[in-house]
Amino acid sequence: MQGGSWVARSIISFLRHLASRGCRRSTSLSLDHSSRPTRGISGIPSYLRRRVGLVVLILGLLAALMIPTTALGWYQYFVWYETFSPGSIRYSAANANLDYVEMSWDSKGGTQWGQVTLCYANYQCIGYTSGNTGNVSEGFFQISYGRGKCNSPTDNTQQYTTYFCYVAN
Amino acid sequence: MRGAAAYRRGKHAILAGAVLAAVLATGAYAIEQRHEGRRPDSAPGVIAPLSSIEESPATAPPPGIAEQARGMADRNGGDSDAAIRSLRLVRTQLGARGAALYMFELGNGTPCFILARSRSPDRGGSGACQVDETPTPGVAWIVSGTPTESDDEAFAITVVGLAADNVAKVEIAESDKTVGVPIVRNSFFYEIDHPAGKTWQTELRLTYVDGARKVSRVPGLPG
Repeated sequence: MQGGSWVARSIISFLRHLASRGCRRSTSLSLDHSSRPTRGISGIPSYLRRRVGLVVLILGLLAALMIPTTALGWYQYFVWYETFSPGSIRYSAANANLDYVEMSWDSKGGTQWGQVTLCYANYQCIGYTSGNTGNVSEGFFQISYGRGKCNSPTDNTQQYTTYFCYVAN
Repeated sequence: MRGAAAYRRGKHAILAGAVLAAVLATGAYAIEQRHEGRRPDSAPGVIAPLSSIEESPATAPPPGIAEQARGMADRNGGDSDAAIRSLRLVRTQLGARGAALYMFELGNGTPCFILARSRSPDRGGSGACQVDETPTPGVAWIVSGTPTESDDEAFAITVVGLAADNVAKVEIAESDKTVGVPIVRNSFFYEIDHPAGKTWQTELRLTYVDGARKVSRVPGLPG
């Protein structure tokens, strides 16, 4: 948490620095009346409006990257090239209206199984599909809110590489 | 003093700029990875010809099935357009829910199938692609079901798959009985009646055209 707040403080400091640089540059140029910053109806100098726009753009980008969306069309690769042992389980991030989960793995000649399911927020799961062909998917159910899950069943005998686990709504 | 303060501000600004750049770069990488995500080695699992499916006319699938087939192709090294072109409706009115079975291939010979149980055209189904060889050559299958019997959408535990031309007979052996499962249009489907408390001991038994036999354990759910 402290690391996160330091990052936030540093970013704010950076943005303030950008704004203050803009102020100083305009001040030094104001000896020439023709280059004095103009003021709009709101009374905010144009150079500040440009800085505000930049700040809003950067904050918007950050928000888009950091805030999980609950909109339809969301998807996540929640496993990517990971070694699974017998009994390994991975869950996706939680989201609304999930209706598809898929797993692709190295089944080692069909001897090692993979399994996918969708789980409600309380981790009660519905709709299991298992296979040994290296790829399985389940798209019949829709859960109001929860997570995708993929796992190597406990009665597998070897580790294997899971290429991806994928969930979508 | 002012110089020192300006130096500190500048240092902080550089640090913060680096953090911001790292955050943006990480986000951009994550977005790119999500879009590029696919299985790298999509060598098709070996399966013998599925002649009755391959000779049947193409199918205009429901949107949910088409979307699932396209996505499975994209994510497993296949050609999504080829997957859609190859889609065939193999079986209908299967089991208690009147399920339908669709088959397609990824454009590189990898066979896939989807069992569609829902009446909603926007839903997908339980699917698989045979991207690896298996100990049962000519047969690609899954076991699918839900243990939540009280749920309105619950469905029986189902064994479903493709059986190539080299497969003569499919049987399901439970703890107390062995049932022959008909091969229809290179596919088989069987719903397992499994009351609570009954021991799960189920096998898929295959007999090939050349007389060879293979047995594969059917895993219980959940695992």
